Amino acid sequence: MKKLTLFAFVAALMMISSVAFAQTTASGTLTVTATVNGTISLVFNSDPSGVALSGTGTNAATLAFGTVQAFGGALTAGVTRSVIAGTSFTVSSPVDVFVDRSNVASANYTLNAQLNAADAVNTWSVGGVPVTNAAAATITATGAYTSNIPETVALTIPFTTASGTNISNAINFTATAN
Amino acid sequence: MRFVLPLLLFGSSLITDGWAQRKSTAKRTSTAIAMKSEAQGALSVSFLSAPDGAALAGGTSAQRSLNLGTVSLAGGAQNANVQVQKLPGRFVVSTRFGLSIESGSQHAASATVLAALAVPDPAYTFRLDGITLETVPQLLQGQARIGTALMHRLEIEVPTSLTEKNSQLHNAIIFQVIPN
Repeated sequence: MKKLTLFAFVAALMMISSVAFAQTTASGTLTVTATVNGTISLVFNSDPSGVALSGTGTNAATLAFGTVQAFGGALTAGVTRSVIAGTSFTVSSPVDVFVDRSNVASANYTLNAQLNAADAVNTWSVGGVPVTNAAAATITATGAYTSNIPETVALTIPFTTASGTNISNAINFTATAN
Repeated sequence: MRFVLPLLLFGSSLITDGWAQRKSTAKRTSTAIAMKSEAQGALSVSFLSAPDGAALAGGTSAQRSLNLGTVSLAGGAQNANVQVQKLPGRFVVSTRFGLSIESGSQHAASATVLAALAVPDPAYTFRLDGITLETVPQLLQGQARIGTALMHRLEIEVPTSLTEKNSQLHNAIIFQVIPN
């Protein structure tokens, strides 16, 4: 009899607790899901000792050497010139390449560069590495993340180029997480 | 054994009180009359997609899913109405959704809304209307109007140091609504 009373008491308590819980409050559950993708990004920054880029801080900047000539004249600020007597002259400027990473377990990156359009007359290089349209050239295989890495962009122009010639091309940079 | 059972039950009741019952002890009662009154004023919770928020999917009105899709620092969000804000060392994924509280009677005009994470997640920080969520219920609103759908902003902070190993986010937010 005592057992029965006890179970009845327990059952009553359970019902009271259950009713009070269910009827005085309400609950809802919102399941939240997302997938985080690992990414790296590349932007160009103006190097303090180089030409001021237009579009600095973006991944589509422009480096304007301005009017260049082998001898004399005024060069655009940040442009360095060297001459190979009787053959060609080179104008160059450092450009900072900044590669950031997010949600990737990569220690460094490989930076490749390739000319957008073929140039049979002039010679291009990035960081001392010749760059052509034929294939991507590796500028560095151990690029450091979140640092402005100065890469010197150089354009060599033969003396045979006619005065007033406009030179325009693009260099496509690709950073790949290692 | 006769003593153990009532003790266990009492413990359960305490847990229930701590999580779900009214905060006001003055109004708490265990009489049959009061419980009947509460039965008439039963609350219900439903989630709804905000016009400027990510679409909710599946489940019942009180158990829905919010898929924020693929997000990244550089690429942002791929799903509509999901925003990504870039911050140093992290990015914040956010969207809005609605929460509606309905009552069977007009006894309570407002309710207290609590929210908690279903499981702890040290990798991400969840915020609702600026309030950081934990597995312990947090007070979201003390005076939520019953019968009106209120919009809430969910923010999830993703550290850029997270890697592919823990890039899948899966959790649930449990809302508890208590009439005032």
